[in-house]
This record gives sequence, C-alpha cells and structure tokens, in this order.
Amino acid sequence: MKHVSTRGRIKSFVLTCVILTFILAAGLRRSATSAAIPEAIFEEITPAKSGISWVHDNAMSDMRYLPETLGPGCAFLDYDNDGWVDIYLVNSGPSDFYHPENPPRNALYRNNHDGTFTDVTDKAGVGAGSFGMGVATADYDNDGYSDLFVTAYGRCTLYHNNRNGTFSDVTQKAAVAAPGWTTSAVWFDADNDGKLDLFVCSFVEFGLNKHIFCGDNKLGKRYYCIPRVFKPTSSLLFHNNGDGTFAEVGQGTDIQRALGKSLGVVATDINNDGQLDLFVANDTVQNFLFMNRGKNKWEEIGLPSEVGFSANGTPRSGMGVDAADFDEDGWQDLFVANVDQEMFSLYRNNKDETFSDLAHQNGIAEATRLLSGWGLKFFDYDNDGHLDLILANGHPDDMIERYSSRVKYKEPLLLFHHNGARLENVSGRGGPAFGRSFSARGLAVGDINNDGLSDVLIANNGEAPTLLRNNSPRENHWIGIKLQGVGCNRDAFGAVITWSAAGVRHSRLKTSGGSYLSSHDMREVLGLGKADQLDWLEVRWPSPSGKVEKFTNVPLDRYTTITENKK
Amino acid sequence: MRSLGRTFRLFNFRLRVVALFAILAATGAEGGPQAGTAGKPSGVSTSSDGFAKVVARATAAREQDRIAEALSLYEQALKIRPRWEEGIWYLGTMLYDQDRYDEARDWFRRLVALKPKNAPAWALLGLCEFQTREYPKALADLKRARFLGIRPDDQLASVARFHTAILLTRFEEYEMAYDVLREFARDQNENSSVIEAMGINTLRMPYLPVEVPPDKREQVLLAGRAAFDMAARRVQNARSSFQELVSRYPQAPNVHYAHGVFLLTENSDAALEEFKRELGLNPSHVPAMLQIAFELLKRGSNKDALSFAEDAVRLAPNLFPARNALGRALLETGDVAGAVKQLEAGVDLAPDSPEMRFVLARAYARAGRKDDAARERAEFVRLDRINRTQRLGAHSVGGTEIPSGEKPPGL
Repeated sequence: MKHVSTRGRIKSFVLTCVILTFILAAGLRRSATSAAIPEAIFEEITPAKSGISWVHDNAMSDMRYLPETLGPGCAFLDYDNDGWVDIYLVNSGPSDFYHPENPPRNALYRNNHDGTFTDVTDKAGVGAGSFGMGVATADYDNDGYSDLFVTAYGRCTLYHNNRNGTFSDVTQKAAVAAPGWTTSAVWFDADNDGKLDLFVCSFVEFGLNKHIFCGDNKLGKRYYCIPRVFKPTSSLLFHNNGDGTFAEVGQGTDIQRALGKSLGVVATDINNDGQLDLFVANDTVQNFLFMNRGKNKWEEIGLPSEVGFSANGTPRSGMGVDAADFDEDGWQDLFVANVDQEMFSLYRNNKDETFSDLAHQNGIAEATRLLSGWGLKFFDYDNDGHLDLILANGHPDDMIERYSSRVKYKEPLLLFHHNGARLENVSGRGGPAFGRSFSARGLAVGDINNDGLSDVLIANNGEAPTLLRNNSPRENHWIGIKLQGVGCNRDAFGAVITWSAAGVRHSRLKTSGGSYLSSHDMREVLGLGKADQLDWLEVRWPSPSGKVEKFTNVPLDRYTTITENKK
Repeated sequence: MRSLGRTFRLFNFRLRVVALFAILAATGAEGGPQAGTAGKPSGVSTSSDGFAKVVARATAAREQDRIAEALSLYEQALKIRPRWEEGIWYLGTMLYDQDRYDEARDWFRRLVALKPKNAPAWALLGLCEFQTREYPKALADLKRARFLGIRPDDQLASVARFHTAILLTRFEEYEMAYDVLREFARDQNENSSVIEAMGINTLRMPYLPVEVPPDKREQVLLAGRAAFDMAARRVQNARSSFQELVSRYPQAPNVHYAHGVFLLTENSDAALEEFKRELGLNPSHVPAMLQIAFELLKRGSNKDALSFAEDAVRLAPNLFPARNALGRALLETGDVAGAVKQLEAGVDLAPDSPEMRFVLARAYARAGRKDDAARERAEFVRLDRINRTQRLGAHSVGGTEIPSGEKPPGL
C-alpha cells in the first residue's frame, strides 16, 4: 500500500504541474495553448461518425404511463466472436397502452473494427416486439457464443445465438417469458453447476386497468406516478436445466417472499464463500441483499446488512447498482444510485455481511444530492490499477422542473477517479459530454476499439444513445483477458483474477450484471499502472471447477483469451 | 358547531344517512347492510312482528324527514333489540344531524363496542367528541378511524381527515398534522378552511382555527397559502408566498423556520441560514436546532451536528427526535455507548417510532449486541409497515409478508 500511496502522490504532483503549466500558458498566449490542453478523458462519438442512427422511442403520452420513463437498456457484446464488441440497444414497442403504426425495434450494431458500426438487426433477427426495457447477455448454453435476454413491460425474449450471425427466439421453449413488468436481469451460476441461471427483476403490478392518475387536475396535467402507489412484486429466479429449458425456482424462497419494486441487480460474492449473492435495488421500498446459502436457500439480509434503507430507516428509490472491491481489501463493496434528495450510497463491506456507507467520505453524497442515478459502473478508465466510477443520471419525471427550481429532467454524467485513497469527482475533466445533460438510463462499459481503454455507452430515454470513446493518456500498461470456462460456466462469472505487477498485488472478482438494464463487455481490463511487466496472474475458476491456475507470460497491452485447463 | 361555526363552513358535515349506509357497506364495515337495502335492516327477524313493525314505522318516519318521530321509534326498536347495529347507526347519525352530539356520541360508542373495526363509526364518534370538546378522545378515535381506513374519496374521510389534522396541530404534533393536511393538496382539495389549518400548522400555533387571535389571521392565511402551494408542488407560488411572509413578518415566531423547511429540498444552504435566523430570534427553538442537526447528518458533518443535537436534548429531553438526532450524531462520531443511551431514551419516549427502532438497532449492532439489534429490527419492520400503510397505503410496503394481527400504534 505504501508503494501505491507514493505513486498516487507522484501522479498528483505531475497532474498539478500539468495544470499549472496550462494555466500559465493560457495567461501568456491563449491562441497557442491548444496543444497544451490535456485531452478530455472521453470524446463523444456522434451518430454520423459511428453509424448508430437508432433512436429510443419512449412512447411518451399525455397519460404518462410509467413504463414510458424507465427504459432503455443497452449492451456491449461480441455476438460474432470476432474479438470486437458489438452493441445492442433496447426499444419500446407495442403494449396494452401503446399501439404504434410503425413499432419501434431493438437494434444490433456490428462493430466494423474502424470506429463505425453497421445495423444488422434484421439479419440477426433480434428486433423483438414487446415494450422492451433491458438486456442481459451471456452464453447460457456454454456453446461459446453470447445469447441475449431482453426484459420488457410484457413478454421477455430469450434469443439464442445460432453462431452464424443470427439468433432464434427460444423464449417459449426455455420457459422464461416472465410476464408482467421486468427490468434488469442477470445471468449467474446460482448453484455452481457450471450452467448459468437467470435472475429477473420484477418491478410493479401495472396495466391499463391498474393505471393510476397522478397529476394536477387544475393544470389538467398528468405526471409519472411515484412507484409507491403500485403494488410490489416478487422477482424471479430461473434455474438452467442444461437442456435449453429453465425452471422457476424462486418460489418458496426469500426471493419469492420478498416483495419489491426491483430495478437493478448485480451478482457478486459478498462473503467470499464461492457462491454468488444478489444485491437488488428497489424503488421506494427497501433494497434486498439475497445471500446464497447453497442448495437454493436464499436469505434476504438487506436490513441487518444495512444496505436496505437509508441511515435513518427510510426506503429510498434504488435504481442502478454495482459491486466491486473498490478499496482493494479483498471484499466486494456495493453501490446503489437513488433519486434526488436521497443521495447515492457507496457501501464498504465490513467483512461480516454488514456494510458502512462511505458516500460522504468519497464525495459521492454531495455530488448526487440533486441527481437521480441509473446506469453506473466501477471500472479503471485510466488503467492505473484502481477502480474508478461513472454514473449516468436523469430524473424520471419530465415535468420535475415545474416543481423544483434546482432538480432538472436532464442531468449530467459524473465521473469519479480513484486516487489510491478515495474517489474524487473529475467530471470536469471528463470531456464535453460531461458538460451536457441527458435523460440517461442504461449504461454499459466496453472497449470498442481494443485499445485497452474502456469506452462507455449510455442509453437515453426518448433520445439517441451516447457513445463515449475513452481518450485517456496511454501512460499506463494493461492486460485484457477473456476468460473461457470449461468445467465452470463458459463466461466464468464468479472467477477471481489476481495479479501482481511491480510487486503490487491486485484482485478482481468477475461479477455479473450491475448498472441498470444493461450488460457490459465480458472481457476484463486489468490496469497495471506504470509497471512494464506482469509478475504473475492467477485465475481461480468458479465452481464446480474451483481450479486455480497461475500464468506468468500474459502479454501486456493486448487482449488474451485464457481458457480453463488449457495452460 | 355553534361556537366553532366559522371553522367548519367548508367542513360543515351533515349526514345523509342512506348515503352513509352505502359508505358502511363499501368500506366493508361489519354488520352494515348492502347499499339499497337501508329500509330492510339486516338481522331483523320477520318472526318478531313487534320489532319489525316498529322498524318499518321508524324507517318511514326517517325517510319522510319526520326526525323527532323517527328518533323515538328507533329508540323503541333498540329497547327490543339493544344490539341492532343498523338502528344504532341511524339513531347516532340523526342525532348528529340534530347537533345533539353528546347523545350521538353515546350511541356511536355503543356501535364501536359492537363493531370495533367499523372505521366510519369511529370517525363519527371522533367527530361527536370533537363537538363535545373531548379533544384527546376525539383525536384518538379519529386516528383509529384513519388506521382502519375510510374510503378516501368519501366526504366523511375528508371531514375526519380535517379534524384529525387540526387536533394534531392543537396538540403540537405539527409534523404529523402536516402529513395529514398534505393529503388535501395531493387531492387538490383547496379551500379556505384547509389553507387556514395549514397556516396554523406552519406557524406552529397550538390552536384550533377558532382559537387563532384575530391579529394573527392574515399571517396565518399567508403561511397557509405558502404551505399549501409547497404541498401541491407549486414551487414558484410557494416561493413567492414564503418570501412575502418572511418580508412582512420577519420577527414573527416560526416564520424563518417555515421558510427553511420549504428551502430544504430547494436550497439546503439557504435553509440552514433560515434555521439559524430563527435561532437568532429564539435561541431555544428546538425544531430549528433539530432541522440543522438532521441536515448536517445528511451531509455527513456529524461532529457539527453533535452540538445542535446536544442543545436540543438539553432543552427538550422528552422530545424523541432530539434523542434520535443526538444518538445518530454520537453513533456516527464513534461514541457507540453514548448513542445507545440516547437512542434507548428515545425508544422509551416513542416506542412506536420505527425510526427510533431502526437507529437503535444500528447502534446495538455496532455495540456487538446482536440479539438486541435483531429484536429492534423486528420491531422496526412491524412498526414501519403499519406506519407506511397508514400514511401511504398498503402498496407502499415491500419486504416479506406482513404478519397478521398487528395493532395500530398508540391504540
């Protein structure tokens, strides 16, 4: 840790010098300073450049049906296994309250390897047809290709990847239609049998006959209801039978007993017992932390673990979530984004199935007081070896500015950099996109150009998505790895990667899910900082394998596929 | 009604007994007949000719507005069948309409003894007790009616809600009263009585509307307008009204405090300044101290919160929010033993407060007292469910199933 701190101080000093130089130069000769301006961390890639012309249709109506304001999600996935991440975007669609003449459709964009994308939706057959919400990608049948699960207000859709650029809708056969209103979903191996199971967040009971008037009679205006007026529901856990079918096994467990209004979920290992647990964010009721006790026994411990309620016992409007070992103590920490006035929480794992909220100490609480957060992700954007954080925000009520002078409908993105000791808000250095506002919902992180710098995709409600290319200075080394399980689940969710560079040891659990309605690039980018060589890298594969393999010859600054038992 | 007439010009509630019977039926009240069967009371034995004949005459008299005769006949019928609930109901409501509140009250007491889950009967009992100036009883019974639930779109619900709120204000339960009054704004039920009640509440005056000194009337109405607009989310209007209130009455008690409460979500820095101005006018203003303490706790400025919370406890040791604030500040600054002491005192003061139980559970957990923490958490869950169901409806409650047989707090 001493080494890390020293490096942090040096980095801070260098940065200060750069800024001072910039200020001095600006004062002396403004016109000549453009070359000295530090490059913005993220650059927005416009639709004209990327070729992504798709726009989300939120179906916003005068009736203000709640599903209109909760989508959409997005995903980075390499559907054709060409080593370049592609993009999937979820759209609204026909429902009991929305009958468009030309139904909006989801979109799959293939990465052309040159910074542009091509719409291959029709060929792939993944346009869907219901009022889409989010997407969860994974290789559920361990055939080496990523499949797609699309949640919806209405019928969910499971697309099986046919390994030839097309997908088949296997929802009915798989028995995962999950009617009602589903939001985020996560693939993970609940029972460590080597096959990915599926947890699907269920939001509230909603329908034309259950629609409630919320608004101002005098103004004749409706606004989106706060979800507390709708009945809570149970989320769903589908066990993978290994033959292309699933069985709902949440019944009779705490997953079924816990009535929530679930929006975000991440699968992670809270107590390091090798079994993936679930942290579920709920809107207006308490969050759930489902501890996986094995043999399909789930214990909901949100209240005693102190992640269920605010510090004074109030349920908040939990939306986006993530899990990561942000303080590098070997234990998974949690993050949840809430609605304005509630502030977001950064929960440090106390190593005893309880958590402490460190949002204040990391500048999170203050920065998020007026914001409503959805998609988010811990990731090391500059590859210095510490996990940073990006937050995508936007108020769910498009009329909020009538009721509040300070809370806005469209809100800015936030970027936090981990300086080795704590997170600091560096949104001001994020780039022009961080000076704009969005009706952001889903957020996915992935490396679109394979340069080792993780890029960001944001799905905006009622607008085009925002694609941000990471232009961080290439001053740090990195290793990109794609884990390929053989004895365990193919995507190796639950694997623990440990590595040492220049004598500094790091560790990362491969979590699944997180963010909001979205899926990230499956690959892990491990930042090495200034170290120019890797001492070693170890993979502890998840059960049922549980095997530990150590590598010393993993090349730097490129992606490598590591296959279990194929050293 | 005579002495309190002006207060209730918009809540002058006259019973329409047939319609109210429909209320009873619709709310699932025990023993009430189905709508449209009011003339044929349930439980009437056709074999008992004497009783049936009296009932028929009573019904006819009531339907023809021969109230004095109807009252006499219902009393006659009830002498034959003392537990005839429908008869008690008609008698009570007719007496209420005749301003004979003490007699009506006694009949409604008989009715709730027979039907303890009948919310409209509890509400009418509370309203009678209000008229007979038995205010503590009136508040308790109106609270019980609220807990049991009256159909919210009903006129009786609105009247009961109003009287609950003004009684809460009179008994200085200002925050709870505001929560109730806010429902009028939610329903866009805007009238001068509500505005006046909101003003009294906002200025933290322990008065019923008729008790407000005439020279305070204008200030009350201005504060009420601001508070109603705030509750109705008309932020611009509320801002203007609060600014006018502050500029016209800068030295009046609770004006800066009320403005601060409005500003908390708009501009918390400005809110803190307003609370401090209130403290400048009244250094013993405990609510202002607590608002500052809770805002500082929200900001993570726990050490700064500590001194305000300590002052609040010193001035108001029997106020549970003060114990809560101090307990939380001590907990967050590492004095776990001190926190437990304060929070236990808070729970003793307010055993039905879910917030107190929640924070005490956290403190016990921090102190390593696992069993105590588990007990307090269980109590928190129970109370929180009841509390949220009452305030926000059953759909606002999440988590695992609601245990049956829970009793409402404070009853």
